[in-house]
Amino acid sequence: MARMTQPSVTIDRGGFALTMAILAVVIIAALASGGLYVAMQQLRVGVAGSRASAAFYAAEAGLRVALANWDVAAVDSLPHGATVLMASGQLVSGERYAVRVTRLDSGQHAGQAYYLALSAGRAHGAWGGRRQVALLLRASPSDDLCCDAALTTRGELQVADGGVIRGIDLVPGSWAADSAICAAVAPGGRPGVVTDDAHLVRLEPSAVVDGSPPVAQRPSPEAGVRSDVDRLFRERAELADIVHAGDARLREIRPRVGPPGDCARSAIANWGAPRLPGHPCFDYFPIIYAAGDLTIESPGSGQGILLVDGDLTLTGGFEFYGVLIVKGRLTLTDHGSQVYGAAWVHNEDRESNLVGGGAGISYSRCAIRRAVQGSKLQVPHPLAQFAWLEILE
Amino acid sequence: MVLALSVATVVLGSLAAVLLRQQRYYAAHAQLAATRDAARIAAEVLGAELRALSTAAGDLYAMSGDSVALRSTTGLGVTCSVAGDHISLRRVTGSFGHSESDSVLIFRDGDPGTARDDRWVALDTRRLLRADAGRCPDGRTPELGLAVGGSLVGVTVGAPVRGFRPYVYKLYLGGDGRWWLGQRLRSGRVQPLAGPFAAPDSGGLRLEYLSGAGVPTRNPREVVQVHISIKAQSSVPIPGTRGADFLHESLSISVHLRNSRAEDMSGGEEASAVE
Repeated sequence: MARMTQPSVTIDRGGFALTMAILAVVIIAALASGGLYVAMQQLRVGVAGSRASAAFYAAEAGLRVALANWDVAAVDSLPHGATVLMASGQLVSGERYAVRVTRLDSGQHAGQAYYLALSAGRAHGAWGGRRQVALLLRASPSDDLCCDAALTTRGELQVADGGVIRGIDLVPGSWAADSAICAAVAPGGRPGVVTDDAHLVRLEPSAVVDGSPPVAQRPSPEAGVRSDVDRLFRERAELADIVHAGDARLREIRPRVGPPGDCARSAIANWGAPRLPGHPCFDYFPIIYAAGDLTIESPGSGQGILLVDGDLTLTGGFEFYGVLIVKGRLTLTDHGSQVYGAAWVHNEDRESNLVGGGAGISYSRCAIRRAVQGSKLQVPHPLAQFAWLEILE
Repeated sequence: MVLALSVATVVLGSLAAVLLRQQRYYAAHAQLAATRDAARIAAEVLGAELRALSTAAGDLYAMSGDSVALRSTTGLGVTCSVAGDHISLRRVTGSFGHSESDSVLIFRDGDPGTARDDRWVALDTRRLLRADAGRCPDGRTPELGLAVGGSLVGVTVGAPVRGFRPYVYKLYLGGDGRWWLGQRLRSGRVQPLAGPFAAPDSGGLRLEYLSGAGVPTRNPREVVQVHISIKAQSSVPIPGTRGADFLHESLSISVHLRNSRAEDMSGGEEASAVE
């Protein structure tokens, strides 16, 4: 019996498990990629938001730095529409800021200037954002704060023998040795006296009044002087560092130094150290306001802005550097008292002003500018009601 | 054969379940992202609008717990020349006069020696003029000209000009039955900005107005700070172990109004928290 042998046959069964597995992996990978994409987008959105916030706060910090370090000389000299870089730097966290100040006003009104401070903040890193905030500001240019003459007044003025009123620009003697003190101030002479009636200026034979001209008469000084004095008082008395509530008689005014060696600005009898360029108080310029009559009987000195609601009497050789604004009358007795800068004396009761023998008022543009710039008068203020805004790019 | 089919069924079933879960997971993730985006956008828009308000100037028209009507700044320019009822502007950023509701506030300095009488005067913008009308004091060409309704007496060259538009921000019920943050001109149609959000009575949008003392106030002119709470909602229900439900994302920020006390540059803190 023959054995029949059949050839072996291999059947290809064509399984699909591998195909399905690959398909599943592909689908899952696609879903995972989508999820990863969404997650990455969220991450980017979150980081971008965080960086944008950091840039925004850097811009705001820049504004504060610019205000704290306001460069009066730089902005005062800006023509209309010109821009100056006021501050730039980097925060500890790495964000950078740059603040540019543009002068907006056309110079039509001497009493005020307007500025736009634009601060750009930039966050660090690859996705660093940029934000800009702006602040609208107003400030008084120092040259135009006051004064048209060494002495602006009305009513009678008596200058005794040896008394001096000089409109020729003067650098005070104690500052002359250091050329840096008045380096940025161009000299500019003024009249010695501006008054409403030149006939009421009485000069004794040895009195000296000079300037260009020595005595000028304003056609209608009444309204102008009054409104200006009132305006100056309104604004500046509110900013006073030192206030005497009523009549005051001061006998000791001199600079004080605190324990760490700094100028003791809280001391009410410390009016700076104008005669001592190396003193810690040399750059201290207080605004002093006396609500009544003020008499200073002191051989000392002071500087800044002195506002007196009543009469002012200087005696004992007291020297003042800066701006005097007096509503009453001014008396400089025969003991060598001096004013360097300018005096604006309204003389409300039309009594007689007196500049005694050895006393004097000398116009000093440098003294005026130092006092105005050094006091709070030059700190710019945001515009009323609306000053801050974000500039969208 | 039967065994093979059984195994294949089990494998395919498992695979389908995995895919379905994956799909649900990523869909939920996308919904979460979109919901967070809606909350962020709402906070950003409201924060930016509120931050620049000057309550002293009357920028806050009306306020309630879930809506606010305000004067939105659209642009800033600097007066270059003034002639009759025409002003020309330089240094223009943003937009002026792009809608009938647009107006301008012009800074008017009274006595130059004091800031006490300084005011921003609101004037209607009647039309835009040729940009090259007139010249600036420095000889340059102005960027924009405006004809305004109202007196320009006392407006000087260099005076800032602020363009503004009155907006109401509120949650509105959309055609889909969901609540959306909308922006509307006071007499216009609603423009949806972000959403959807939870219903107002469920905390979709809550605004709390604080005075300088940090206490709630109802006087728009006393407002110094606004606390904003937002609860965004996913656009579709997300399936979960206890059935499908909407996903919620909450965001709170405090905004200090920078112009509320502009004179002291007090600034302020903003804290945010995402629940």
